[in-house]
Order: sequence, then structure tokens, then C-alpha cells
Amino acid sequence: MRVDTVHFGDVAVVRVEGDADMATSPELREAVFDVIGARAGGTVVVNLSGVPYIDSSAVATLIECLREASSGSVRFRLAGLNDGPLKVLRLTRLVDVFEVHDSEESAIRA
Amino acid sequence: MVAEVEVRIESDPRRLRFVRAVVGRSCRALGAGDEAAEALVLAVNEAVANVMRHAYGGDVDQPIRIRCRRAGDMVEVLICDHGKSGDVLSERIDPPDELRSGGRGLFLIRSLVDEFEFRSKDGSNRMHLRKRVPVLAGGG
Repeated sequence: MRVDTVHFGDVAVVRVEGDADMATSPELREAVFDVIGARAGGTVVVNLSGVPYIDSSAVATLIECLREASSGSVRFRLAGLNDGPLKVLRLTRLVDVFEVHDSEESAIRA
Repeated sequence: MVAEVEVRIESDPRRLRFVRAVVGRSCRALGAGDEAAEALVLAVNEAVANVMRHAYGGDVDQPIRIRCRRAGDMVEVLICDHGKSGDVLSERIDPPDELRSGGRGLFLIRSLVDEFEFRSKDGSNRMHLRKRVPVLAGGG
């Protein structure tokens, strides 16, 4: 997995590439928590357009990130979900729990 | 058509990627379409991750056997381990909107497959996952 962070004003975008599963979720969690910790009052967008696959470990990680963001008054958005990951979020009935945007651009502008 | 495919891995989460690739290819070779194969890949990933996390408690060098085969109008995947047996069948299904971080693996498995079976006997745990696929021409 590769995780890069880019800043646009008060919005931080975490761009993720590769499968997000039990092996790689800790890396995703650490990267997003770091960004949330430095973003009080701002917005964090996780761009998942480079992620073809997520499992329940990654779903759990995204829920932890959402909770962490909420407790730090940080807006948390997901962007660019591929069909496979979107299906997993739908199956776990969590797609409405997250603020999901089609693209990184729309998540930044929202 | 292949009769069955069997792989043995160690309980290292870094092997999950390999498991997904093998199960996806095998299920398609056994007659599953893309949708059924993808559902089985996701279900098997959850089942194997469950073994790594719970049966083996995070030990990364324990054996897991995975076998894919055709069983009538089903593609069947067996996941076998020798770890601690949990009471998998009686575990509750999480309320879907609950913001708990874990515990969604079994919910996903049950959502994705047509049959789900778990047996624990003589120190061996065996989980069968089955998904209905098109009947083979000529009776299979």
C-alpha cells in the first residue's frame, strides 16, 4: 500500500493506493490519524480511487478514522470509491455513515 | 475443467492478497461467474482473516489450508485450521448501523454466500463456504 498526503488550504487529502486489508489497514489508520491530529477544525479527505479492494478490517479502520475525526471536530470525507469497496460499504450498510464523494475534487469543494 | 485447487499458507495477514488471487482464479476455473467469484473471494478473505485473528490469536506461522472445488451446482471453499475454535455459528450479527469498529467479518460472509457451515472436531476447525453457480453443460 502507498499513502500520500497533499494539502489544499484547510483540506488535507490522503491518497491511498493498493488493497486495504488486514495486513495494510494499520498503515492506513496511522497515516489518517496523523493527518486528523494535525487538522483540528479542518477537513480530511481520503481518496480511495487507487484502492481496488477493501475488507472488513479496512471498514473498521475507516470507522475508527471517522470517530477520531468527529472527536477532534474534523470533517471526514471519502472520495473516489471503486465498485468493489462501495459494495463492501453497502453490504455492511455503512455507506450512509460516511460522507462519500465521487471524486477528490468534489470532496475538496463540498 | 480443474477438479479442485488446494493451497496451504501460513497465518500471516500478508498472505491474504495471495489467497484472494488464488481463490478468484480457482472459482472462475470451477465455473463461477465474475459476481459469484468476487463474492467468494471477499467471503474467503474474511474467513481466513478471522482464523488469523481469532483462531491463531495473531501468530503468523500457523498452518491454514484452503481448498476450492465444485460440489453440484455450488462452488465450495473449505478453510481448515488447527487453532482455537470459536463458537462461530452462534455469534451475533451486528446491527448494521452500529459504529463499532470490528465484528463485521461474519456478517459479510453470511451476506455473500448461499451456504455457510462450521465444524470443530479433534483440534481441527473446518469452515465451508458455498455459492450457487450455473449448472455445467453435460451434467458437470
